[in-house]
Amino acid sequence: MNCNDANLSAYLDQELPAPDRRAVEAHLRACPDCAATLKDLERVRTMLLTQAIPMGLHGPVIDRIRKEESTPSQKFRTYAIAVAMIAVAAIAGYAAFRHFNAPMSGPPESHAPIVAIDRDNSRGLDQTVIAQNDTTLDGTPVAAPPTALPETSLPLTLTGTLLGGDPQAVLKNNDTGEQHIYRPGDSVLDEVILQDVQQTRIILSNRGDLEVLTKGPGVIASRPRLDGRWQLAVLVDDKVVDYGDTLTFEETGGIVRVTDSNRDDFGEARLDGNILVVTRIEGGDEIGALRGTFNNAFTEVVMSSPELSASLASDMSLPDPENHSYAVKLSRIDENSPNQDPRAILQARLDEVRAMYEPLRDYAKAHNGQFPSALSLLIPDYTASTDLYASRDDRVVTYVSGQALPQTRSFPGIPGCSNSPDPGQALLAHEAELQQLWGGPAPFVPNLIEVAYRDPDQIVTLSAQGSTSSRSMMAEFEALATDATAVAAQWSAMIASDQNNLKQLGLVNKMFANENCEYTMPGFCTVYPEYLSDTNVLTSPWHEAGILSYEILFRAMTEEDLEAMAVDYLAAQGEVDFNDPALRARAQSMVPLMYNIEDIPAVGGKPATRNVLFLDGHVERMSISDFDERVGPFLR
Amino acid sequence: MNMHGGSPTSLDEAGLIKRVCSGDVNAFELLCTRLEGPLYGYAYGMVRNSHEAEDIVQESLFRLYQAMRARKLRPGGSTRSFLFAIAHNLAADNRRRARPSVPLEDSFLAQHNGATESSLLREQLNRALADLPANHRSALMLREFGDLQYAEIAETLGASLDEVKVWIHRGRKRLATLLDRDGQYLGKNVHEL
Ligand SMILES: [Zn+2]
Repeated sequence: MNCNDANLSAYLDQELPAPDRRAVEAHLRACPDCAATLKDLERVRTMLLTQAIPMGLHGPVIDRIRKEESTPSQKFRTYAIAVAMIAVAAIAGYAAFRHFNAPMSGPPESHAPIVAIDRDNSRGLDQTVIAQNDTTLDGTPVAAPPTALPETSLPLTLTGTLLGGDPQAVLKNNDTGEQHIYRPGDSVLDEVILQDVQQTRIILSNRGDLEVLTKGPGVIASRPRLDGRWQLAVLVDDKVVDYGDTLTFEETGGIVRVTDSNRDDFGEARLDGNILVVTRIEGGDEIGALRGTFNNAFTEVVMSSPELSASLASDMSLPDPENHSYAVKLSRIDENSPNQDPRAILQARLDEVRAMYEPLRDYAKAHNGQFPSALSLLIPDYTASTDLYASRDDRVVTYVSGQALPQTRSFPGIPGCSNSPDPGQALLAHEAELQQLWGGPAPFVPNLIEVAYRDPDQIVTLSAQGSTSSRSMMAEFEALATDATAVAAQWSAMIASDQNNLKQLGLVNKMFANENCEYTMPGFCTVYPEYLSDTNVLTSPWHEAGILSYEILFRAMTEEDLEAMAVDYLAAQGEVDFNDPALRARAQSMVPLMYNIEDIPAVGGKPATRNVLFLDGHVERMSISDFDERVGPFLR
Repeated sequence: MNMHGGSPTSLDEAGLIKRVCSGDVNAFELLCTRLEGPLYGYAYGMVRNSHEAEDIVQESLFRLYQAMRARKLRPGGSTRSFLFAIAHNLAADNRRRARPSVPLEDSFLAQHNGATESSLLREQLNRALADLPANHRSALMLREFGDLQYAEIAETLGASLDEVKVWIHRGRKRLATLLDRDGQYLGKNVHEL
């Protein structure tokens, strides 16, 4: 093969006359060596042209020209034009693309645009700031215009630009609200042509005159992929009141599949400019759509809908949606920073502390119920190392030694009711005996371990009986204390939690009555642990762990007696029909069984209240005056 | 919003130049946004210092505007050719005036930390460019960044067409041997294949 590569560069540059070009092409088909050399030459071109190159250098030149040329016809105008300094190989990439369209060479593999923002260079951005505050109070300009293409008065908003090999701009028509993607050369309106797409603005030719359209409020420079994990949060009046699932976005072919932390379908997302539309799917059915506008960095989107407001209000016992704005927020989770959801963190911490129990319990079982006097005694038979209990940067672990397993089995059993002459008295006597043993009206097991966590601050306790509890709710509430709306929402959640405690106690009472001749429970010690295993429900969210928050009004009385009492009360008021088949249910629903020992404090200008559990198991929150009216008669 | 039919009156370079010549500064600005990137690439390759390169870009653009307003551009002559010729002369002046050997700019990375990867590539590239004979480098850069034809390059450099053809080819081949596939600079002592 007769190789002379001297013509290869000229061939690449399209500088060869036709006969020479054909000769080179013929040779390249036959000679792998020269074909490889040509590839190397192309590679050099790509490397040269895909470097980052700053743009916006011309700003001062335009200033200088205008200064030297200002004529009366030229109005002195200042415009806020963001000439963000961008190092863009887009132009170079375009040049490379053009070259690579030469015959015999495919598109370059490496012409992918390298777009980088030169944050360091203040020229463009600082001038923008100055230009926005473009005049002093007396109207004199304070800064020379960086550039002076007039801002268009066309009814258009620039919602996004996408730079690269195929520059595009997303434009919204302010009159129709429609939004479309345009490329340079496209006609946007009658006699309005998109001329050029730049990082933060576009150039339009409006009936032959060049005008600039800069970014509208809340627009994006270019769109990153949505792939990744997103934290869902519930907002009331723009404040986060709760955190929800972590959602995962997977983007393929323009469609984004959204799944929740359990890998269940949450929905499908699509992007319309910088508006995210998430179609919610539940059980395979679409159940509605959420829409919201992304922030500039595409890291956060707030979405809302009337259906969402209604369902959030009912699910979470949050304030009336008519007087508040409800929304959900999606925030991109930065994999390098810790999960921001305090509830997820708390759950992980509760699990961590719960795992501390097993070695301690096993030790106690082998040592007459006595827990070790020091954690080091657990090694090596019960745990390999005390790492499990170690204090760390983020937690301080306190172990309370000298305690024993609660010996509930050695406590006297609940007296049988069927043979007893007075089961009520027997139950009350039994409860009194147990209260002596427990040292109080509730079977609170002392804490074995207390772990104080940092960031966020949470205290998790492990009882000698193995249950864990946290004191984060009150801490969260205190952290919110300066924000009235968040306080109100959090307070509502705490009240809901308190009501839930009472509902559970209502179930405990029902179970107890079913197995004990329909007698109500005589106290909290008797029902522990057969009916009530988790003593955390005895404490309101605003009380410290170990405090009993509820009072039992009618102890060890038969439901029949209580119903009769209610019927008597109704009869005394002259409003009872003894033939009414619903009379019994009505009586059950009006007999109060348990309630908050203390008033729920007044918050946010609302009066103090109490939660009340009724005999039929329903719970009502009522004002103190209602409480006096409806519970008062039964207290006498 | 509809996509209206009809041929777009898109402004090509020739259209822009016409408008600039009749005093349309806005058109010149648009022209600048198209030219300044390649011009900077060229200037930086020649002086390897970002401040000097920026100065060259701005001075070249200004002189281009003056020439266009004064209608000094030869009819049929290429604007690009004129612009890059100015830049070439400024860069040459700069080299004569300044230090005999311009040190490679290590601060480039610090200034452009948003584009680390491509900055690294650029540094490697500039080491390699520094190894080229000046004529080869100028010819190649005018070709790649200026997108000039061989005849225009010959005129700018005051050389023959054949010389330009050889310089560009040798410059490219030398760079190909100095830089591996990932753009890594392999060192001065690499011999041509
Ligand atoms: Zn060959």
